[in-house]
Amino acid sequence: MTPTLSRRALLIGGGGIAVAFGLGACSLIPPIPKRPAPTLDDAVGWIQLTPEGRFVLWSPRAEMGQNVLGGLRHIAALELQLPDEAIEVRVAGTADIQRVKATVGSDSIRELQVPLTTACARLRDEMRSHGITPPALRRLAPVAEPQHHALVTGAPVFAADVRLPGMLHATVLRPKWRLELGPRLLGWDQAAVSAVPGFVAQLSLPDLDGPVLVARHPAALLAMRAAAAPRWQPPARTPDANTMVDIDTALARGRFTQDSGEVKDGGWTVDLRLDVPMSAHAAIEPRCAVARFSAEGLELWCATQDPFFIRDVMARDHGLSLDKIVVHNHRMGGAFGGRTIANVEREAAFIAQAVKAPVKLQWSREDEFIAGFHRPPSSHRIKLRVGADGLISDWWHALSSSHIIFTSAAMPPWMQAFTNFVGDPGTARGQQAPYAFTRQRRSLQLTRLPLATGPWRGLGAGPNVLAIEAAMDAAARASGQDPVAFRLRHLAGVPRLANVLKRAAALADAVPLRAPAAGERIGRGVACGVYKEQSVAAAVAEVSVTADRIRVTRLWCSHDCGAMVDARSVRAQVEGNLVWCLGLVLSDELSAPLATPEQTSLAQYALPRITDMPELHIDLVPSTDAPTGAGETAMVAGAGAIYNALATAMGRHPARLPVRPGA
Amino acid sequence: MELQLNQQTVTLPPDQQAHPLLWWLREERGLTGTRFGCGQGVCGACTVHLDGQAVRACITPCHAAAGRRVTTIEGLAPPAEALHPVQQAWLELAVAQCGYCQSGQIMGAAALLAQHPQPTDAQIDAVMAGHLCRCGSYERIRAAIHRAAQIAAGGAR
Repeated sequence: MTPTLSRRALLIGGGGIAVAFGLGACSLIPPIPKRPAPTLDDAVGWIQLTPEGRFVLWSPRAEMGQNVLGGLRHIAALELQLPDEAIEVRVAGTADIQRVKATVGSDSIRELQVPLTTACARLRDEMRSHGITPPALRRLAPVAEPQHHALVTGAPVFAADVRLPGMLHATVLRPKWRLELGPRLLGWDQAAVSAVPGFVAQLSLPDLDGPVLVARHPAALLAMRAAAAPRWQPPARTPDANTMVDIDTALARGRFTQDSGEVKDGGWTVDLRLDVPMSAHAAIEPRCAVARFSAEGLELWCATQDPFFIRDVMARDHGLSLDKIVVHNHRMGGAFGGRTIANVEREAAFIAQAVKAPVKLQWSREDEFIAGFHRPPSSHRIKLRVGADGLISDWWHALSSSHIIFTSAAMPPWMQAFTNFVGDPGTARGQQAPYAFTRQRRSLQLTRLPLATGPWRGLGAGPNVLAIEAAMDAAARASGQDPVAFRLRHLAGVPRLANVLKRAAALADAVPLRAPAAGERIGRGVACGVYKEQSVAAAVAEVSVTADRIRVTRLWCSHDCGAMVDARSVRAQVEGNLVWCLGLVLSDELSAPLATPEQTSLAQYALPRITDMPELHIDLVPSTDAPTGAGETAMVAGAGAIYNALATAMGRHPARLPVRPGA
Repeated sequence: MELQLNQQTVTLPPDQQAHPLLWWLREERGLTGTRFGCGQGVCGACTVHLDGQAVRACITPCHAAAGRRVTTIEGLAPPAEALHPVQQAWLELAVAQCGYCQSGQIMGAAALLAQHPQPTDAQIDAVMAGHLCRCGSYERIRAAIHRAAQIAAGGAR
């Protein structure tokens, strides 16, 4: 290679971005997630033509089921004028590309389309100038989405599928409570543990939540966990997280963590309370990580929304420079916001260092509930006044909840006190109603809870918009107005939202209401919302309520996320969000009356099943606007629609979720 | 103690006979397509076939497979075929989202189709209600089972 070659030529010739870009080395980066905007210099490292003539796209976003791999591959293929399957797209780890921000907030296509397209255009021009033509390509049928062939044939694709020579298996005997509450380990049956065939070690490491058991194979770990029977002295105080956020307690105190806007005093047309309990992510894949130390440093195999943040945490934990750490990222078996911090990764690395062998740490399902973090409970009270003109003059949404963006899973209590100065934009997400009210007040109370809370699909937007939409319906009913027309009167300034609302309502109106059977009540409800001030969705739900069963029978949803790179994947995201809405209203509930989850298995924590599925009618609005996100948007429409349909069928507004038969 | 694992005769070491089939398949045999989800047989992610019947490998001890045929997702396609009709339908309809539950869903669906080549929605419900998918891919799962039945019956769309 001559020094006059361009960087692009260097990439083509050398065939590896690790050669072209030296990775930064800094030993004391604080473990706070960084959110760099992608630059073109970053982007040219994402796409390469290997010396063997293959196109490889390193995805700068992690894959968790949103099919970002397929979307980015399609963008690259369009620009390179190749069929999609000519490009091999891979999940990038820290050694593969420059630092990028975490995969959060449904913004991958919106943020990456331009830099990726530009980088691909450069590569195409560079190939032309070097007289390189793409090799003739055989079309494989059927054209599968990236990694789907591996998924349907069982080929290794997840972090837990990693197997290393000499690898040991470990588990952590953790208390049921967070350590900060002060549980004390009284002891465990060490003799019984060491008697289990396959036993390797049991150790106490200062950075972990409890004793560590190490075995030759996972089956031995199961027996060792059972034999250990650890004895913990419970914490002195074990308050109930779900009642700590009671909104009326906050209102009685009269002071909030954050408070904005003003309303006029006086009587209210609607005064509605809604409590949404804590909820688990309950991804089907329990977290897993594999760690190996060698003379070169640390290698970690995991599945995370932010491999570069994981690398920063590893650097701090082990005093290593960044160039001594490689984080190999994998497809996540569901994330939903739950893979945004370092937990299983830290444990695996500390244990691998202690036992001087590669270690796989597979969290059990119980670990997921106890050591994971959860969507905080939220307690809402919305007071509103409808004026003589039939429009809402005053609107006050008081919300009491806990931390999401400033997750309590990743910071000690003293640091949390500082974050309260800026509130929590995650908890407040969606709290600002899109409607034109004369006066609007938003109050937010944040209380750190005994269980760790953090990002969950849609952050605060799911519960906040659900509460808003419940209140809008109540206001329409109280003032004798049609719920769709009433909303539209307040949406003159938001035509995109008004459009999806009209479309969803028209779709549903074309289908007659089902006639109820004996003892059955049928109801329909509508809701709409904006997600992150970008994408919009509206939904109509039809529910059937009997003494022993609540069913959502039909859901219509109109969804506008701008131009769609991959409409099939957008549809899948809308469907997935609507299924999450079923859960949010009808089943999601993590109770913790003694400061520890009462549900610690999937037998106890109810998730929507195929038998709960309504007929889905999804309307993806054609658009030429710039793409916005689809991964969380329909959360702001489906849940409110289901809730309002239930309110219609039951003739009252349930004050707490989930709504259960007979409740 | 011997068993047929994906059409091959294998010997089960005596010290592993009491272990859950799941962990033997994944860590000793390297058949990692069988997933760990709950460890209690309630999510369906670890579904394999035992003499053609769908079972949950996380709660099935290895010795229960003695002298029997165990089929995992890696061995689902008939020896002469690249993919089983269920796998073809899953690719065609892009059923998977995160995909973690899908090998279990596919094994459940394949066992269902072996028993009911043209299943009704009620028959699909009865079997697939035992398979959780947090991504919410249920509508495509149902469509893909019907499509797989069509492929198996001759393939025409």
